[in-house]
Amino acid sequence: MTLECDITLRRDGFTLATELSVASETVAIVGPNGAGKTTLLRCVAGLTRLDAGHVTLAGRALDDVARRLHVEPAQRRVGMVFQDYLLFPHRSALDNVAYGLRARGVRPREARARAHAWLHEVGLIDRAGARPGELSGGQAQRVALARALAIEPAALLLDEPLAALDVESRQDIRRQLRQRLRGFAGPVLLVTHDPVEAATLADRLVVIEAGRITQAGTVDEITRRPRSAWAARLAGVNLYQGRARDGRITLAEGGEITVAGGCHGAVFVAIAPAAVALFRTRPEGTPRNVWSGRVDGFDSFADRVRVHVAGRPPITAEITPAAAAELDLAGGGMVHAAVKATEVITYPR
Amino acid sequence: MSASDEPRTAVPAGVGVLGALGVVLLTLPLIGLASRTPWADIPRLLREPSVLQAVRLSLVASLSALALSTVLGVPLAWLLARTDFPGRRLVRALAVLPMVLPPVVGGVALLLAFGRRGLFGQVLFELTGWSLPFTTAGVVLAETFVAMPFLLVTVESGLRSMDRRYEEAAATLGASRWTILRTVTLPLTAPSLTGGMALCWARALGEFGATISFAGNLPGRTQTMPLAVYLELESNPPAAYLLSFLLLAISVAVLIALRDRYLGQ
Repeated sequence: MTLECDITLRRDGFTLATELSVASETVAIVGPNGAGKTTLLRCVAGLTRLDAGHVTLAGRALDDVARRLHVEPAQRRVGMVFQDYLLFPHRSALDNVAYGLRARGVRPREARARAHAWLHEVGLIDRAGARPGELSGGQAQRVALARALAIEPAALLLDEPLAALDVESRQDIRRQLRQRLRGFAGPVLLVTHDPVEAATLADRLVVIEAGRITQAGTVDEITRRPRSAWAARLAGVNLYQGRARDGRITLAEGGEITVAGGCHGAVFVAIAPAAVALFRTRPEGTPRNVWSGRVDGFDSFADRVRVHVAGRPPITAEITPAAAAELDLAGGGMVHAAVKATEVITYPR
Repeated sequence: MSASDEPRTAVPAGVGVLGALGVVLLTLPLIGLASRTPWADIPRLLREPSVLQAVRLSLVASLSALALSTVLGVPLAWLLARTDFPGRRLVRALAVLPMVLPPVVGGVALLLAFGRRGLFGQVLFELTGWSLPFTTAGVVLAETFVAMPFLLVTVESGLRSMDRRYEEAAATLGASRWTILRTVTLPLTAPSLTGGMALCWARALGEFGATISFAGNLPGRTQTMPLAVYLELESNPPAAYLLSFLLLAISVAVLIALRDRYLGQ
């Protein structure tokens, strides 16, 4: 069962234009807030209408703007777990899970029996009679998942499934959720802003920024060759876009970088923070890339310090606490950043 | 934070006095009414035909008006809250107008629309030989006209403030629009629905101006409790006081039931 979507949607100040194909796997949609991730999910569920494009699930067209086709959410057999779970507050956990079955015409007794089985699956049979208000965050999440799975959907959508949980419950629930998703037979689309959650739960990641897919692949592929600001943050590298010519790259962020290898044309430039050395006075020596900038802030960790330097281009350097003390970073001021050409990684854009 | 934790504010001299006067103005009439109610005579008075008729008629008419208001008002509230049809704002303004219109003016307007020679009433009379003024049905119509907006406004507000995402969740689970309305929307807006119905009923029960000018003052047919009070005030004061007290008691009961909600909290 494959989910295919080619979605174009115009909002004020925003155009979502994405093309996606999901087989029987779990795909995490990641990216900054406001990039259009939840909107994408809503389009697949049928809650938001497309301006152009189509959505097809298991060969059946759910949306086709050209043919003016729009299948209502109720007819789609797409299960959705919402960010705040949205369990019906006036019904018990059991009735919540049975809701979809009853809505589709299953007899009350059979619906309750199947709902019982699902609650047993998620380990909440003893809370069957509880109201959603009486459940903990983790329990509510599991009931919401059971409710979506009870209708035996062809595809499953999850919008920030762990966001509403406190840190303690999150790990446990994440582990259970991973098992449940592995066991699900169809495509799963999962929206999250948390890279760890994405890496743990999904087979593949799709990075959406400003309404467009900027990168897709496994966590490994994405962090090895980041092609988006989000991926760069995940990988912990400095990422730039530039034009390469004869071993020199002109950066969109300002400045020029000299590289060792041969590359040409539009490229991404990645520099690991650990490859950046900082000096108070302009150094002389082998590094080809030396430029100055203002210390724009720094983050201290147990065994290292990340220093943000505002220059052309801006860069984050990683140095030892001792070195940071020597540099007297607290005073701010100007520093020189140096990067060896051999430490600069480039790949085509 | 309980009331005792909040720092006590010093009350400016004038504010305290004026506030106390306000309390007197509002409560003295009610105390006066309660004190003049002829408690000893209640059994005898309740058996008087004029009193009994008025009470029975008021109950029948006000409950009918409530039913009609609910059947027409809830769908209209849903349309106003959930759809965007052309002229929606105008419809809403008109639907709320009876709340502000002087009731006797409402009665005159009803007369001009549904009276024997009115816009619609003329057609009705020519087709069926029947007209609304001076009938119990006319009372129900007058009461519905003034009371329905209360239900409409409350239910519309409840629908607007409800989290629509519950309806979306129900849709993804396979519920049809009618099922969503029945199993999600109405249960979640039940508090505003019951509150609106209570307000509507209380208003219908107490209506005077529109009733007397449209339906007239015929005992047993159109003489509701408020009209009976007005009539009996000269000839049979104890009966008037009793009826007044009954209406007051019902109003207080409705307020307690609503517990400060939906009344400009």
